[in-house]
Amino acid sequence: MYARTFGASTMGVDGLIIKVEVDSAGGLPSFDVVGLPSGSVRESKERVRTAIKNSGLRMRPEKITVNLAPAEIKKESAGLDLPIAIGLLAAQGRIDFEKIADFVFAGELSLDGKLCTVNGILPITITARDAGFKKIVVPPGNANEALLVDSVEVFAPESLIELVDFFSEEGELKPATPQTAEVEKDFIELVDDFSDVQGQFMAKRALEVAAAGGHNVLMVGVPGSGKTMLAKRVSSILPELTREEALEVTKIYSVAGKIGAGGGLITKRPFQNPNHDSSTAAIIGGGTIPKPGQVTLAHHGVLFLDELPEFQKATLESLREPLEERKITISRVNGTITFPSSLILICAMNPCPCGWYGDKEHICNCSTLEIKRYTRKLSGPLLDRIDIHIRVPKVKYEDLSSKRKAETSAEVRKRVTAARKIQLERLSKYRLFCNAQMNHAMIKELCIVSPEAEDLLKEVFEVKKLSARSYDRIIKVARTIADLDNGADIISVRHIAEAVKLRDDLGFDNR
Amino acid sequence: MSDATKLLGRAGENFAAQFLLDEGYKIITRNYRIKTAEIDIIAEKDGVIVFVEVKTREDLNHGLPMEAVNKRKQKKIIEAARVFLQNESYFDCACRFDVIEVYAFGEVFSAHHIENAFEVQSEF
Repeated sequence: MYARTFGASTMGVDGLIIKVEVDSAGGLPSFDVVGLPSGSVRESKERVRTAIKNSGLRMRPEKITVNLAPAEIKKESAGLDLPIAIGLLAAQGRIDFEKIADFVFAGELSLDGKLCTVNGILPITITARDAGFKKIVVPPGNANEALLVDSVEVFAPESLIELVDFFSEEGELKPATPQTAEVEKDFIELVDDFSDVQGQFMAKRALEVAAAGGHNVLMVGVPGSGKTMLAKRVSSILPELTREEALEVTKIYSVAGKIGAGGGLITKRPFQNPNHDSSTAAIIGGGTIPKPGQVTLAHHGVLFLDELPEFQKATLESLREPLEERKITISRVNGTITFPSSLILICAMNPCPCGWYGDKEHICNCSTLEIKRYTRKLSGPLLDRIDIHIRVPKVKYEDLSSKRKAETSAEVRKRVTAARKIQLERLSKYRLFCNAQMNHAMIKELCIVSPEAEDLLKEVFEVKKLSARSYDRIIKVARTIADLDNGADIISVRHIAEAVKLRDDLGFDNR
Repeated sequence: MSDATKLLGRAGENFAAQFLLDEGYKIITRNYRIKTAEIDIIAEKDGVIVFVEVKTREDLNHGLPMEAVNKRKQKKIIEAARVFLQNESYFDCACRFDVIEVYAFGEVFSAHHIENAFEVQSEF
């Protein structure tokens, strides 16, 4: 007999509904899965067979053929176990074919017939809803994730037999309800506060501007000056995620399998801190079936690259596309996938290999050649994409021992949020949300510079021999500074001056 | 193969055939042979054709009887089964591959019936 169910897999950060056709009929007994299954799907036949047996259900030895459509896409989700099992039981007459028609099933089966958590349930549920399905069956560990989607009824049975009994009307299964204790669970621990950092007012101000306008930052400083400490606290001054953004972030983490059982909506901004040993694929995403990398996991949050020159040159250059386009397109034989990567890049580095170049109290014993080699990895195009360049000096003793409480993250965040709101109003017609996203035409239209400020810009442009892109970037940063300055409409000399200061000449840009 | 082994095998097959009859099976044919393989017993019950491989052992020095039905042996049985179904015009009927282990400890024979012992392996 023939039966059809619907399962789902993921493609990039989106779900993909998969039609699971099962035919079970006479002939030499066999169990074949066709339709480009990957390893984990091909193995699913062993899990399905054993799970059915251990659920106390009998499977007739027949010639069983499972087809996964569309056939040209490689399926790799273990979540196809459940639709295959249900389809098989329907094909053998154990479940009424009509009853399962408007369901989407997703879940991995354990050998004892329990439903195990799978990745990508949030995008799968969204796709199922958009495709017109009203009901979805997910493992209990994924229920909170699926419940984030409106107008879909979510069922989360513990085991296969519970579901089979529900369809054969021998048992009851109520739609799942959110577990309030666990929904909205923060899995990114971030209790660091800006007030932990003493002194470093210049760096703090730079990070505030960066947070307000979504600008990228490069901090150069001697060891122990607090670069890492500052960077780790940037996500605490960023505005709260909107629900839409939170859903996007949750989708990515769902696909990456980083939500964990019982997890729901992610409400904290992501902070990714990859080690400088990371491969290019780990940073920008990759794999035979492309998976999101660090730039995507940092979407709507912060990507912090500590010890920037220690990264591989190719890895750093691969950051150009995500920084410019705010998305990354990965092409593999199996398909081209675009991941979002709208992030704030924060980089930290020492001025030279020994770390003390430019410090007044330490002697730097690096040769010019060594310094050149150290900084050579940072290409002009990459540095051009980083709006804010600052030096972070050594902390002064007076600052360190000061009893004065520094400004807390909450206070800074208030100003950042206000500035973001102004930008959102200004940019919403372009569907953008922060100044860093403006292109040249928008800068021309939206950034009105006062005549005196214009003169200053001209002088700076000539003296510093700026590129056209650097020029745009200074205006963008000045725009953010003006937004922070109670939302001044016109960019004045003060704003331009600060923006120029925030694009410090570090000795290796504009070569 | 020594004569003694042959005799033992034959005795085991006879015992298994009787065992199947007692279980309510109908024996269709025994020792169905094609060029490269043989099926010990082909039986039928409730409309299901059952291809039975019988393995007889006097002791367990060489492992369990069913362990002797390895992938290679399974392939041969499947091949013979295909030929049988084709020649006897059974199309798409329900089939099964069983193994019956016969323990011949002295004069006492006992059988262990493993239903649906193996399946056609995927060719993908």
